[in-house]
Amino acid sequence: MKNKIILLVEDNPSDVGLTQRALAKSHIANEMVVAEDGQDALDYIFAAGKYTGRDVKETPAVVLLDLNLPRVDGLEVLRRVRADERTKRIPVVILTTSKEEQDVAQSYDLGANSYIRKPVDFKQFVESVERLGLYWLVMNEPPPPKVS
Amino acid sequence: MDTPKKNRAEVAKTSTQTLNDSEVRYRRLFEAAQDGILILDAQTGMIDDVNPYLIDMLGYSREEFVKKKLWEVGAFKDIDASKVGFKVLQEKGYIRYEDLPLRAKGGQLIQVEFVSNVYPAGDKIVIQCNIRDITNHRLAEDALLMSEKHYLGLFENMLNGFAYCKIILDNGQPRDFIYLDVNTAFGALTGLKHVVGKKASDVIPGIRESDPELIALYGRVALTGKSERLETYVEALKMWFSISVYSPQKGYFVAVFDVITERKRAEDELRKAHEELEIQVQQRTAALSQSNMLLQTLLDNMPDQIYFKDLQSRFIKNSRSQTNALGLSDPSEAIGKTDFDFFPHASRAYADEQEIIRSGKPLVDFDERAVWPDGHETWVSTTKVPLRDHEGKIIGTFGISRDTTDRRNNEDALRKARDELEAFSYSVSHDLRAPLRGIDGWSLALLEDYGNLLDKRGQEYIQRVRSETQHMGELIDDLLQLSRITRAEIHTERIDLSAIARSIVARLQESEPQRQVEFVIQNDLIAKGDAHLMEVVLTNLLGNAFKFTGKIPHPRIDFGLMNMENQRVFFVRDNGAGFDMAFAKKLFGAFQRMHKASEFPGTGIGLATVQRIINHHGGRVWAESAVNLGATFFFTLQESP
Repeated sequence: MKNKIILLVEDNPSDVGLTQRALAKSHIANEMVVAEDGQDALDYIFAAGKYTGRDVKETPAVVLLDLNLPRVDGLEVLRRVRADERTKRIPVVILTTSKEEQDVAQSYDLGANSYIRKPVDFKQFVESVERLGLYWLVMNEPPPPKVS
Repeated sequence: MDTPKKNRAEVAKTSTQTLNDSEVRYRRLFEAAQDGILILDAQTGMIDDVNPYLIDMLGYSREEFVKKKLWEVGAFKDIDASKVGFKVLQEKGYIRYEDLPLRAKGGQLIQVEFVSNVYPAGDKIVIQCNIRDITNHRLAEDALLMSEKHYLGLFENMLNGFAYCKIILDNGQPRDFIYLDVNTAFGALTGLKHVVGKKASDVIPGIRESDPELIALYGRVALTGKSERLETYVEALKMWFSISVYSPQKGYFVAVFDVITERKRAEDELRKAHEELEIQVQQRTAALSQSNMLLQTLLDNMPDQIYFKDLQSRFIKNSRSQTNALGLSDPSEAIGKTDFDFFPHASRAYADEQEIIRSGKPLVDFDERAVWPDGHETWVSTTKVPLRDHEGKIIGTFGISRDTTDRRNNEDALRKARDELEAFSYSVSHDLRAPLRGIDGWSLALLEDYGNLLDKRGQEYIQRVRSETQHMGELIDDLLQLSRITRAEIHTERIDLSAIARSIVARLQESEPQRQVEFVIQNDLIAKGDAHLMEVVLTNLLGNAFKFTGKIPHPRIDFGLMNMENQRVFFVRDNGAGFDMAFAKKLFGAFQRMHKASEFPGTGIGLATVQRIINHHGGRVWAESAVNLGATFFFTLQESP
């Protein structure tokens, strides 16, 4: 089975590096695409902007989505993904620093599959990512490709 | 005529002449007399002569009298009595009847005084009867008698008291009086009996001392003869009298009186009632004027705007604060005007007021935006209620408006500040933590990937970087929690503190499984509170106890409930390090720490958070401790929300 890509939507380069390191430590070898803000993420998912020509049907295995992003914020990205028939089944995991109740509640309301707060302790973060990767990329059966 | 020598014949002639002259004079007297005169022959009783007056009086003609016997004329009613009378006359020469009835020819009785004299006239003895008509005289006397009877009846039957009295003088001054006659009403009215012939001072003991003016008055009338009328109170009798006094003769007086005590009492009561009414009116007026004064003071000084309006929403009365704001120089200028004269939004207020008048329901504390005649705008909090008369009928509206512009501005500023704080907290939570995560992550990466290039000390340094980073992470989390609690709304419900404590204890033991701590948690500690916030409280208190018992051989931590002064007091007690009570005041302040970080790490925010939550619940938290003798934290919760 061809490894599907992981879309990481994260504007903080340090967090991008650490997430990549955490995934690597968890032996998750899927290719990772990084979108640095919400608009980039939407462009990738819907094959627009610099991703024009990409096949929208090639959906990411999982979207790791930060909430506090430039231009279009994470919750808006989630809303748009869930609103589109082609993308609404993509697993979206909120991966954020915030643990404000309203963010958690809104994320689940908009159909986030999971919500992970990035801990300060990197070891804990790695553990979280490991569980995440195992769950979504190994244990979980990906949604069936949409029949066109 | 010269008669020096007179002869006998002349004398005789003169004598005859003299006799004739006397005869003429007598005759004339007889004819002209205003009494009836009869001349009878004393021997025979025959009437010799009758004068015209008697003819006229009795109506018989001269012929019917002359040569008849007196009783034959028919005038003398009692013939036998007349005969007897004639005999007496014959024997005694004189008879007199004071009151003799004669019958005139026409039949009517005429009362006469009848006097008869017998005397010789020449060679004859004659009887002269003088008959005087006394009918009219009698009638007058009868009338007088009747009148006296009438007056006596009146005297006895009149309702007024009557007293005929003689004044008693002493050295010319009236001192007393004697009752000479009184009527029946006198006794009935005064209650005095058997007074006639007695002195007033005997009948009414003390009257001279108690009522000298009355005696002086009687004396004045009796002596001057001038009548007086008066109304007076007689002290000795305890009665009011209306008296009319006159004097029938000097030294005497008559008092005609009525007792008017009842009338006086009625007048008195009426007067008192009038006076009381007057006093009440004055009091009411004073009370009214006072409440008016109070109302006016309120209206003149109250910063809130007060207004009374009639059914058409026209101003009846306004506070000075309002008319000032309306740009008027005096509140009286507003009377009769309406909101339409001042406000662009008058129709809204008018509609509100008409609805209040229709429904009778007040509008309480509603906020409205007011645009004033000078253009400035304010927020006002207004209450409008129906204005009712004393019968409860709605006659208008009453309103009071408070300028809340400042309060609203403050509220707006506060809301803005809170929003900013929230944004700041969010930002802190999100942005401050990210670099920390980087520091920790890359330190670990350094250690993992290049640890072999560092000696033991170098590796220790990197570990220290990581632990400091994590400590700062905790600090940020605790601060966030503290600020979140300030903003949090409390959702009070029935919670089981025992169950919450047990789950916290389980987590604590799991975090340091090597430690053996004896936890004693009382069962069924039920309270009212916010489940989440109370978990924060117990996490801090039990966490502290767990931490500060870390260095003793047999740690024990209790969570229970006790009763203090009829109040439910929860407590968390440990037998750990304790603290010096001298510093207890700093215990609940943020960033205040009782121990060195090397001994017991911590952020110093936990107890500040606890206090804030407990205060939020309307409770109180305090502590008792001594160094190395453990610490007990007490808290209460408001039991009835």
